[in-house]
Amino acid sequence: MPSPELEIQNLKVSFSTPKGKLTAVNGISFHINSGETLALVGESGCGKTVSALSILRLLPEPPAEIISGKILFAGQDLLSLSSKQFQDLRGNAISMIFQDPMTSLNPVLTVGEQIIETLLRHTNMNRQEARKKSAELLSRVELPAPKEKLTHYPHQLSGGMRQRVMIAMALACKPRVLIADEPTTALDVLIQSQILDLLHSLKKETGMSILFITHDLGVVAEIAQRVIVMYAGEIIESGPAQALLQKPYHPYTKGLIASIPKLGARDQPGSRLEEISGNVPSLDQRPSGCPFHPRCPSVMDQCKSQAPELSQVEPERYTSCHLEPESL
Amino acid sequence: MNTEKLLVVQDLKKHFQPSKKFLQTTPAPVRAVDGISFTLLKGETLGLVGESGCGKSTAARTLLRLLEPTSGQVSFCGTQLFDLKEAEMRTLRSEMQIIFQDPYSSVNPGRRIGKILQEPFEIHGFKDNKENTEKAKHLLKQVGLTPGHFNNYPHELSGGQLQRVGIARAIALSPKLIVADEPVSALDVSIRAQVINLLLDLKERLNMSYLFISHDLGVVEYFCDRVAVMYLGKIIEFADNEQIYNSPQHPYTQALLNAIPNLESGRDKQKITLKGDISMLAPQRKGCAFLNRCPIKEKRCEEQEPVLKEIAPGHQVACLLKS
Repeated sequence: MPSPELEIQNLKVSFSTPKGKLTAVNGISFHINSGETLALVGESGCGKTVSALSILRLLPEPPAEIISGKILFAGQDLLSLSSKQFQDLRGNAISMIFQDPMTSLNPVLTVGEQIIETLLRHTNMNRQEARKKSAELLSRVELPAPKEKLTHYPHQLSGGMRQRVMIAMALACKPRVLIADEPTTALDVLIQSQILDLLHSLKKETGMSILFITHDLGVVAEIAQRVIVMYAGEIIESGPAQALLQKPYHPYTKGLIASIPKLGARDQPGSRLEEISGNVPSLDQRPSGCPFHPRCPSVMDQCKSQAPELSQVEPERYTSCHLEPESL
Repeated sequence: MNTEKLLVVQDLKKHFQPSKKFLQTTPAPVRAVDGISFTLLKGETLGLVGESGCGKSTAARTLLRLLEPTSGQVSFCGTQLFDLKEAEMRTLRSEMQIIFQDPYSSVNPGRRIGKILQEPFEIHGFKDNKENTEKAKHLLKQVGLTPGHFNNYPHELSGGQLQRVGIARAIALSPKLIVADEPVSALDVSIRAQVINLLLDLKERLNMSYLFISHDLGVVEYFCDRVAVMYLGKIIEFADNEQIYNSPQHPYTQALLNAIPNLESGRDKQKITLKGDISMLAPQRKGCAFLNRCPIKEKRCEEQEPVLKEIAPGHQVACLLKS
């Protein structure tokens, strides 16, 4: 039995807005095993980024508020740490890369300065050593001419290169957990493929765990061992990646998979993609009962009033749906 | 298929001149679009595919004259666009519309949706306010929104709904040509399928031609009759949908297809990932533009620049090793 590196228990996060208190994450629990890549999948507004940000306590509080829950890492509850204690952890044992590398790098500091800063904060290196280490890190993420790149500003690099810099920075202190929030969404397919390859080999080498947040199920198939699908702040399905993608249980997961254009799937010109009707509900218009029922093709009366609970359907597979497992 | 030519692009070029820095020689121009030619038939959908920075968006904007071209010819329904005066061009714009990638930045955030949709009519001389309101409401219905959205502001709509507004605005004046610049890249998966289906429906109903720009070959396959693959300002492969997907010839096209994440096979399949990206390439004078990243290059590729050659009916490729 692999040991969990990071465990989230019953996390509930809400935001105070003019429309009242809105729940973005509604009591989710999951864990990441050591050395595992766990994908957190869902559409905009489903709460996947909020969950990730609350693990690192990066949410602005207020308006955000972690109402309940525990985040266990290395035997302690991260939510009970003081912000000072947390600073020693963030970017060190747990680090994060973001979707848009342009807005998450400091535009007026050179790439080198930004990596060195991380190293100086968390290690005993002096400036010279940190500089040398930074160049090593950049060459580790396969940036050409790493020494030269240290003196470059973010705007002198392309999107793919910036994302490599972000990864180098996140890996500087050999984190045990890397949280990757849509790291390839802003990139082209070719560059995406390069970054996925890189993350894959870095993980093999360092043995870290990755929490990979994405809305692209194709990417999930490429990188993850396990998948959690979120909808409207709740986990609606989870399981091993291969099994879940081949045989999804929840109607939402099925819809997501069907709506991806697949190569060679178009039989004749003019054929249509399968679509999930309707929109992702906004936080202030959360449907009663099962949050997916207004868009669900197999909705029943029960779904409108009663929220289903996440339950096991087969070993390692969980889903929250009122339909009988046989008919899923 | 109708064989009437709607748009003929000949040797279109758009170069940008970087500004000269103090005490430096004038830098070489950035050749964003470097001589592309193609023909778009009436009712046809042409896909323009390539990585960021390959010049596909610049090409689209230049041929609509949103950017002034460096050289070349574009003929639209027989009219030479680059010979027209500003005012004449403005009148013709009702026939050619564009849909942008980011729905939020392409609408005025301070205007109501209804007003945004009435504007095309007002600009093109329809002064009857009541009629314009009716037309705007009809447009909302056509793209799957409700007249209830008429008084909303853009921030009250989701990304997918707002992209529908962008589409409604583009079809308002029943154009013959729609240039769609990555119309679904910024949308969520479930919404992306809805918008693609909407565009396909509208195409059939209104008999429009599309120039569909995307970096996602998976989406393009659903959408396009023919596909042009661009690399560093040039078209390097041009073929029918089936030819591109069943027998891609250029090593770059093959790499693009290979890079699409695949649900079934996952990580197991053998992948050839291209190294590097477009922007890190120094402009080279001689040889094939793809040389630095090409997995199958030979000696002669360094010397001779390939040109588009037909290798099968309707299938052109610019590679010395394939023609």
